[in-house]
Amino acid sequence: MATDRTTDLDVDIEVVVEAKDILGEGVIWHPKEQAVYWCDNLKSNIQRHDPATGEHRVWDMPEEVGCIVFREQGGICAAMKSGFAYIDDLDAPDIRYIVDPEPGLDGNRLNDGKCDRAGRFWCGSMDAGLAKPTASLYRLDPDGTCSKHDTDIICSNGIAWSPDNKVMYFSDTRSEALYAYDFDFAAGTLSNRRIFVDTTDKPFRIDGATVDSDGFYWCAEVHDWCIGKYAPDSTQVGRIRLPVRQPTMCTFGGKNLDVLYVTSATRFLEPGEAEQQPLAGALFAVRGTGARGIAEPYFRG
Amino acid sequence: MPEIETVADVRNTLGEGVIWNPRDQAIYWADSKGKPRIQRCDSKTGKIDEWAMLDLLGSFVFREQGGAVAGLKSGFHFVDLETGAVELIHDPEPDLADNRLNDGKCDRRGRYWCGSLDDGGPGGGSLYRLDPDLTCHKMDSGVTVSNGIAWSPDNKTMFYSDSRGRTCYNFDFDLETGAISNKRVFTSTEGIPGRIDGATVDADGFYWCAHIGDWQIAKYDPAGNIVDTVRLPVKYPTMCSFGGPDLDVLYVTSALQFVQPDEAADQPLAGALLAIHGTGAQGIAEPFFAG
Repeated sequence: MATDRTTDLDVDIEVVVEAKDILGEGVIWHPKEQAVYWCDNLKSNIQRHDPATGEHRVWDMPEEVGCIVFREQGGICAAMKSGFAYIDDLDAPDIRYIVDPEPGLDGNRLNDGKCDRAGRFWCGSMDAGLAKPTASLYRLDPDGTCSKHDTDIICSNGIAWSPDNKVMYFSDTRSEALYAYDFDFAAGTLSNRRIFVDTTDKPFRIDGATVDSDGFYWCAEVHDWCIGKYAPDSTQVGRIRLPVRQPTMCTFGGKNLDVLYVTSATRFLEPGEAEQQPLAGALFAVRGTGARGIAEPYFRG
Repeated sequence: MPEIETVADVRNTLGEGVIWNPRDQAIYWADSKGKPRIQRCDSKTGKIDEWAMLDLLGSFVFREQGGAVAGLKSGFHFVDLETGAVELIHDPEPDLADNRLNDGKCDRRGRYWCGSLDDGGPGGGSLYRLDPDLTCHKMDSGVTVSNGIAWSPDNKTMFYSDSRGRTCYNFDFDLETGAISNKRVFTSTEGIPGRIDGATVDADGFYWCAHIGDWQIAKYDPAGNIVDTVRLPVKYPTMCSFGGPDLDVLYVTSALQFVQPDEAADQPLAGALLAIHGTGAQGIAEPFFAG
């Protein structure tokens, strides 16, 4: 079967939670809890859905949360407006800040992030105004030290790694570039940045993303209704059409890691669009992609 | 972070049946095809020994009184590991030319459970139980490729897969009588990459299973949820079992026979015996055959 960008994958799309997120992001599956977590960056909350019970929880946070990762020892590490923080119990949130990588940049906040398979937390910041290249890409190590690995970014997104740990993907959504780096897994360093996908002439930008067990990159094509599927050679081999124009991030979850969870946003809706997209801001579950994800590593700090 | 060690870069056509022998502190495994043989790697010296088999070898278990029992295409056989002599016990499928015995293990009463596979088409395989008195009993049928046999730590549940049917089943298991009942689906890989291959259960009851075709070992909780995956440098892992002095090393076999021409460059270790260190899990010693 020939596939290209215009080939819509034959999948089932479930509306999991009509969360009306302003900017849903940071979706991540918790394999021990068999539950999916995500954030609304702009309502400043962390949410959880348990597919076994249908329960939906919302925890309001005192400031914006870009993303969360789970700690090996339990609890979460959150990337927040004021830096990286530990939260042991969301029901009794005692937010213990570890480090603020950008103490002087009030217009920035931490945004997209994930752990690599050595348990280091990579997270990029963004200019909240989506205009200035004031942001950077950081690596928080298990010992709590934070290092900077790229600069002059407008809006960090799309962090993921190839299954063999040789390539790291990172998108600067507002610079219209999805980058690939050579990833030195042992050292945790990046080199040889190149453009993997250039969205300058496309109707979408690359937002949050994940890599499946065959090495395909699945990413939210925000502003154009789709999740894109890209081969390791950067060819787009398919897409999933969604009932919302602003999908924002995706990750594999479910008991077999074969359900693609997708967050979305109401933020970018034009006047009049909201009525046509009543599901904007919902969390979706896509089944039948034929792909399986890789369990997200825990933060080892 | 689990670390992967290459134990033996033996380029097995179809590595299978990996099993730790606590008596000589060595890891044993099968190459089912190619040159069907039992292989042994001494964990201290790294020396590899081999015992050639008569024909295709699916699995083998150690006997309490020494030596092994092997499931071959031509049936169950005793194997004398001193002399290499092979002696027929029973052929459960003498008329099924496309069938051969495949995955097998002993339960904790020393009965050898071994399933057959049908290389000729779907559904011709069965599950057998070889008792210590050397009687053989057909326990299930209608599978294409038997795999993934293991038991829960409390002996109440038996795991059994039909890897071509993409499904792993649970049975209620009666340890005293060796009966199985209430067959139900544990997990399925229908529609997603990877098939359920060889597997083991750790001391906490988690099912560790090779996802052949998907580069990984998956750790399932007793309810059938994947709670962790370990990425491997080979696309076709075939079986895993805990070994090492503390039973905390997960040994993994792999296969060359499924590697496509365009996949070969990405997996120079295909067919190797690998070891995963640092899973945080501990296995249960494999029982000996009591006959």
